[in-house]
Amino acid sequence: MSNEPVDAESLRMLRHDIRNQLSSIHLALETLRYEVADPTEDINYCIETISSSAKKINELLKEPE
Amino acid sequence: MKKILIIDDEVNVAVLLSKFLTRNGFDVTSASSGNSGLEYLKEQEFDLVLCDYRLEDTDGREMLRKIKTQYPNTGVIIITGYSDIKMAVELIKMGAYDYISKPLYPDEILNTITKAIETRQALLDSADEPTPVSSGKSAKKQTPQADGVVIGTSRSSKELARQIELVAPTNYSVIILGESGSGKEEAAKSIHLQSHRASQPFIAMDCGSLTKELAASEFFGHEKGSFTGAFTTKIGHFEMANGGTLFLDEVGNLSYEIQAALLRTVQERKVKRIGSTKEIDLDVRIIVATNENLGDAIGKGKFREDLYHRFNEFSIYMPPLRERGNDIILLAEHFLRAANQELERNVTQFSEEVVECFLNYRWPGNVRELKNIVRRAALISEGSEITTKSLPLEISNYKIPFDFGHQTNGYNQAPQTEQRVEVKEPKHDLKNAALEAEYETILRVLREVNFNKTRAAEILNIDRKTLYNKMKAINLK
Repeated sequence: MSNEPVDAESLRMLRHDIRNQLSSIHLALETLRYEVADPTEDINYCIETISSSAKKINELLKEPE
Repeated sequence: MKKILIIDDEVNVAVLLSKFLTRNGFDVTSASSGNSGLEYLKEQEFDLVLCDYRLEDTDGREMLRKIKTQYPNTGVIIITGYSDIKMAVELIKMGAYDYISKPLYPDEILNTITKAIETRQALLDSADEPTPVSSGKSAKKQTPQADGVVIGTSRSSKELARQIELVAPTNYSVIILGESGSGKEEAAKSIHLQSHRASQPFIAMDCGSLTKELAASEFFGHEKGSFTGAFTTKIGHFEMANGGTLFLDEVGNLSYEIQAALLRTVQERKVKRIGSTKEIDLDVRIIVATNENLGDAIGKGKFREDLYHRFNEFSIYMPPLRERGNDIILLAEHFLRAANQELERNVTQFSEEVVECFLNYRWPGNVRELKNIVRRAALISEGSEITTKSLPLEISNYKIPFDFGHQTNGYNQAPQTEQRVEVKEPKHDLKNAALEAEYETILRVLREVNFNKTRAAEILNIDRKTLYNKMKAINLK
């Protein structure tokens, strides 16, 4: 690993870009929930997993206080 | 069907968001850049714009400014990837209805949008309604803004309206002097709207929140690459206001260097963006506001005298609310009507005690404070009448030392200010004191964030549940 420190601004941009993608994920899941009329248990499980993982990723992005 | 414009350069987000909102009964258009967004706005009227803060060709702040100047009736919600409270507060101050931070959660978006649209509807409706002024004897011209700074029949507000009418059609620079919350910006807007510049932009700038470093580029703009961090070309406020009016709030806070640069610009009527050699001709009327005596600031060497004289072609004094006698009640009634619409309540009157409290209280926060108090009281009142129970302690417990204030006839003559000494209930009870301090802080923060409880809790550094409990305990809803 390089020893170069990551500068705050690029980190901020990275967070921003990841949050953008998370938005797509949440919105896409919402559409899926709507479009799939009779989801099987597995489909529900998958949707919930994607959703909770996306939320966890967002938690990981929280800036240290 | 309510029309929403989405401006986001992230195509997936725009598509999915538009699908989601269409499903929820909105008529949605989406634009992938700031410019194309503005094109759509030119073609049709939207109820609400959802705008991403970071766009390729511009940013949310610029978009907000443009939309608010050109289409003041369109609500704006900014979507941002940075959870930055300061920025959020600033955006809301600039006129954004709210901001949503990413990632976007569909329920949250829908909630915010619904609220924004309801609020906007309430505001539009209340603007259509006749204000109490029309019931007065003199058929005064209706002022366009809903905040009604010039509403009133007291001598001082009539004088104010007359001065505004007088100076508006000229090109004079104006200094507006008045306490915070007394409606200086509204007065400036009135001047602008009654001038021949009314169809041109009105740009308001809060000099109190400007850092030294940013001030120059905010005023004059800069060219791309003119200094580290200048990634894009920025148009300054002078240029933005060209043809119209530039309003500088809290002008006493500007640094001495910026004052020198301002003076040059005002004298030469030309502006140069930082890093550019091209001079742009300016035709801008300047209105400044201050809540401190600039004469004192000049004496202390904090404000340039030459600049002061440039600005001081005409000066207007905004009377504090406590000196406006019965206007307080007219304004309170006006705000109550607006609150009823916005909050779907049916509170129709103030009890006699409340009227008395209103007339006695000192109103340090002026019209803004009155508006907030009435709004809050309308929300928590149970019957059709607002009683002292719905007023914050500082108002219902406010006591005038002698009995002269209790003559509730002749409201037009407000009791003399000098005689009003603030005497609170002599409760030297630590618990009370702590509660009151807590109440003050909570209310202040809530106002700052436009009553968004999640954000208020963040700022107060307590969790949302605690905030709810506290609010319940102190009778705030």
